[in-house]
Amino acid sequence: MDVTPRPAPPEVPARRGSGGRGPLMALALVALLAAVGFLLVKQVGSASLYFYNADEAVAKRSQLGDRRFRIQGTYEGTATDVAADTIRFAIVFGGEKVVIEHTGSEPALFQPGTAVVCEGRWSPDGRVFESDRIEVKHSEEYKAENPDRVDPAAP
Amino acid sequence: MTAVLAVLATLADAADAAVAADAAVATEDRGFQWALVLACWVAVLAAVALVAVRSAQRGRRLARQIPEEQRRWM
Amino acid sequence: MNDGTSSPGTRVLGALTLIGMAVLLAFALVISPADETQEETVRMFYVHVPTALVAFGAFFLTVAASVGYLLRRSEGWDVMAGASAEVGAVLLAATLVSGMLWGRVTWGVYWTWDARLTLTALLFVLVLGYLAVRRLPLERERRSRLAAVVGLLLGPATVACHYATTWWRTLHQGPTITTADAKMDGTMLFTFFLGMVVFGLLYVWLLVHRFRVLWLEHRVEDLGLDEAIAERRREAVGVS
Repeated sequence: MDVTPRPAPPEVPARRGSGGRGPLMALALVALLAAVGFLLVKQVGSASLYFYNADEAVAKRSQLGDRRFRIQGTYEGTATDVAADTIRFAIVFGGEKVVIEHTGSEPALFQPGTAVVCEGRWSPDGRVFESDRIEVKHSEEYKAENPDRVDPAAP
Repeated sequence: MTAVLAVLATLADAADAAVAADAAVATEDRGFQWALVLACWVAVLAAVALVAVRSAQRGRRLARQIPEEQRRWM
Repeated sequence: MNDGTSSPGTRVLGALTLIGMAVLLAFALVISPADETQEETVRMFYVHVPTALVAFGAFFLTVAASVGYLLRRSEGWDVMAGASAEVGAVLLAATLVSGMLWGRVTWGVYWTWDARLTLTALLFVLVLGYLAVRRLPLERERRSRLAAVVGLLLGPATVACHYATTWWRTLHQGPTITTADAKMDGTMLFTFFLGMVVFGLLYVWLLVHRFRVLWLEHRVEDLGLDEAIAERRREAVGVS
């Protein structure tokens, strides 16, 4: 019989096989916590007031100065080209009309009668809103397309 | 967690592919709409299928490690 | 026959889900009409909205099961909370991807920081954090307790995300389907309800499987622990 004193058995970790992933998981948690903080700041900061309606933007014109913000209204009339890459059109909301000068591309659903959100700032003289980004704020209503208007290009 | 991350990687690839497709298609016509619609469905269903397959594989591997009497849930 | 996480019940559920998905695809991509203004892009509605709503439901189950665990301290509640969050995370990822593609073609942008999108991103990050907590190398009871407390956070986050379009000004459109009236034509509405049923089935199917996988993980963990203890006893007694 072997009677030599044996060294004490090593401590058994509570979870075998995953000990090496501990620091990694802690790191992931810290990163996720930072992301949560960032998103909360984003939400409290800009996202809770995503846009000003056209009438509000007009009322706050002096206050807004040359700050960058978003403006919302219904696109009325037709857009006219003022430069190679710039169009001019009007949006209406709450009885106020704002002229937009937009530089850049327009989304596919950008058509008269749709609500749009433009991002940019008031021009220095405050007469037009200079936009470089248009987002179409489409409605939550869905209607079947007129079956008579068959698009031959559809696959 | 690894399964979820694998899904995210797949989804990110799908999004990259969609961006690439976006650059290639100049006109935003019905073809472009269909491309995005199909990309959307394919990405979602492929991701779900991947999760299901990986989960089944992991389940089988785990089940083999424990005695028969501990897995009588059927 | 017990070679994995499937059982006769889940096989039936799986078959129903797959058949349902095929019918849903037929309705969403072929039978249902294009929208008057959105044209073909409306076909993303039938994956975007059901995955979002089912994911919200999944997170509520996580909250309920977390409460259940904190009250009863039973393993079943803990595993249920984790499994539901896992499937919910996958569905919410599907919501985000489908939403980005849909947004690109209707709004003109993949992403924007409006309240709905910001809160959805927040919810997603929170769920990933919850799942990371569940993998922390702690003693199981402590880990489960910690996870249950973090899991409770999903409740307010989900509610805020769901009502974001009502509470704040957003680029994202408001709810189409309300109790008062559905602003959607017949076939489209049917396709949406079918989508809810099919993604609901998919959720339950995956939930049962993930529940069993997590349960098995615990059993394997126990086995490792038992073996370690037995080994230690043998060591203590000496070699016989």
